[in-house]
Amino acid sequence: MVASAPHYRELAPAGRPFQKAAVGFVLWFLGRAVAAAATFDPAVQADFDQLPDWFAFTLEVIPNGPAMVIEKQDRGRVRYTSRNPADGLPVLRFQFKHLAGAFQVLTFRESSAVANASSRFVVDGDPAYGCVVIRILDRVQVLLLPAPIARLAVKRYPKIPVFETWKARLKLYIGMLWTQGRGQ
Amino acid sequence: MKAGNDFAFTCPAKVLCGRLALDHLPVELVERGAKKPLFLFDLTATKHSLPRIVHKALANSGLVMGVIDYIPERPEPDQLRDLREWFLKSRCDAVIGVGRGWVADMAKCLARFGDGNEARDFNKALPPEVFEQTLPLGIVPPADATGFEASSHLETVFPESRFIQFMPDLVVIDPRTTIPRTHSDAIDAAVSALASTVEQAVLPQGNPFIGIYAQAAIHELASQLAVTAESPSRIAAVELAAGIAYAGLSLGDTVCGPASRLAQRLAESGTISAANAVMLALPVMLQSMPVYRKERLARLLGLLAPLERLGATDAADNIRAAIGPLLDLFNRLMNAAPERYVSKLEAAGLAKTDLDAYAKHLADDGTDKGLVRRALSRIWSGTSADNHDREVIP
Repeated sequence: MVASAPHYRELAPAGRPFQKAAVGFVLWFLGRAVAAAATFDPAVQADFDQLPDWFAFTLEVIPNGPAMVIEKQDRGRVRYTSRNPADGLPVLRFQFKHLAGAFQVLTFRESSAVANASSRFVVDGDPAYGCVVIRILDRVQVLLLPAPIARLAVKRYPKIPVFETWKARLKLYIGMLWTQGRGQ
Repeated sequence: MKAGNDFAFTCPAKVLCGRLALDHLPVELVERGAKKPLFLFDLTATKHSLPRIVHKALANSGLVMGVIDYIPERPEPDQLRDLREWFLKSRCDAVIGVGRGWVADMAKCLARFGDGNEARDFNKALPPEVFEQTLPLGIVPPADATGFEASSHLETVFPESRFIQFMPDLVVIDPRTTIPRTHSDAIDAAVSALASTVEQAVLPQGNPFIGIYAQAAIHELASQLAVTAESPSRIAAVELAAGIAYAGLSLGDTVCGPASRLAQRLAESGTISAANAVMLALPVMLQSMPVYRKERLARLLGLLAPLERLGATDAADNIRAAIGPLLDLFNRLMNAAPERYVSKLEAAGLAKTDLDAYAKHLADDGTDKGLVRRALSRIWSGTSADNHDREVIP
């Protein structure tokens, strides 16, 4: 029977388990890739050198969605964790305002530049470091993903010889197997 | 500004526009300290499953939704009392109106003084000092929005007055709620929005921000309306919806305009739709009242037909040249579409030939208002064609 008169009811927030799992998986995959790329790729290493030691950046969905935390420790060591950054670390937070927006970006249907223009996420921290982090993420996505998908994810696809790309990609995937992070 | 663009703009209401605008709502509410928003849905919104769409959009937000749905177009007094009682018992800390008319007005009233200690009579005008404690207020205009929802007016209670306190904090324009369900709904809403926006653009008490929205709306509506009428498509409907949304944003003092006031009275007679009434009333008012900025109107309506091409330099010529295409557009709508336009006009005692004669009359001589007055008098009185001496300017 369909109600036809106004009435009051309360609805608990629904869940989006598929989207949450998909976003969590991509963040896990990306996080390990960043940590692995920092061990061998000169461009990623150069960008990490611009960040201070004992510094962390996060990619997370608010209020309680999946998160990826990358910590830069001393001597250029980079670690990935999906939990909160260690106490006392200065943190740069990229916060997606909602799961649907994160899903759009992390499934490469929307580039990070367009997402930023569409107000999908907020950056909490030093914007100068934010630019460095975006460069790192772009570089890792180029190495990690096949070119047609990576072109959707980054604003400008760099010119890298095919052989170099595949060599770096192979190193990256092997490196991801050995990457260790706090709390893993 | 295009429909596909997602953007946020604060003016001072924060406007969230785009594909995932509804999903942004929880973040904005939490920023304003809300933990349990109350959503009001009118009957149409409920039938179109908007409660389900909104609930889905709020997934993973952690916010519990209070929902009152199936609110009728004209609630009975005891239903209004129930609404307020439910609101007070629910202890909700924000109010979001999803719908038009009473729902938007109720959301404004509940957010602005529903939490007060004494009951208010919604049918009486209130002085600004009663607004003591306010809650975050959001408005989600539906497909058949008129623009009043996002304004500082109470459409159903005292539409001719503005209270800045009723200006919503958030306006969410999301395609999931604003795309018209049917072709004729889209045209209806677009015609109404076009006429209202033209009036807004030429009223002297506009401001630059509203003017920008008005120009964007007129450009969007003028370029899409005829296309939609002749070859309906979903893309055209989306573009029309964008134009309507901009028109809504530009609604500042429109309802204070004489044309809209006249149109309101015409529409209340029940024989003609509000959209047609505004379209008919606006040119009459433009002809007869000096309050409008006629040169500005000519410039705006020049979007419909480039005046430079016509070689018209004098302002009066410009106006005549500009109004003609507007009426042509209206006639094309009558021819291409919706039979109900014709039937409603005929029911009101106004045949299409009258409009043709009216357009010709305006093109020939803009000074004699006899025909216009007669035509409007027939609508005004329902049947009497002889009642042409009646004053049509309220």
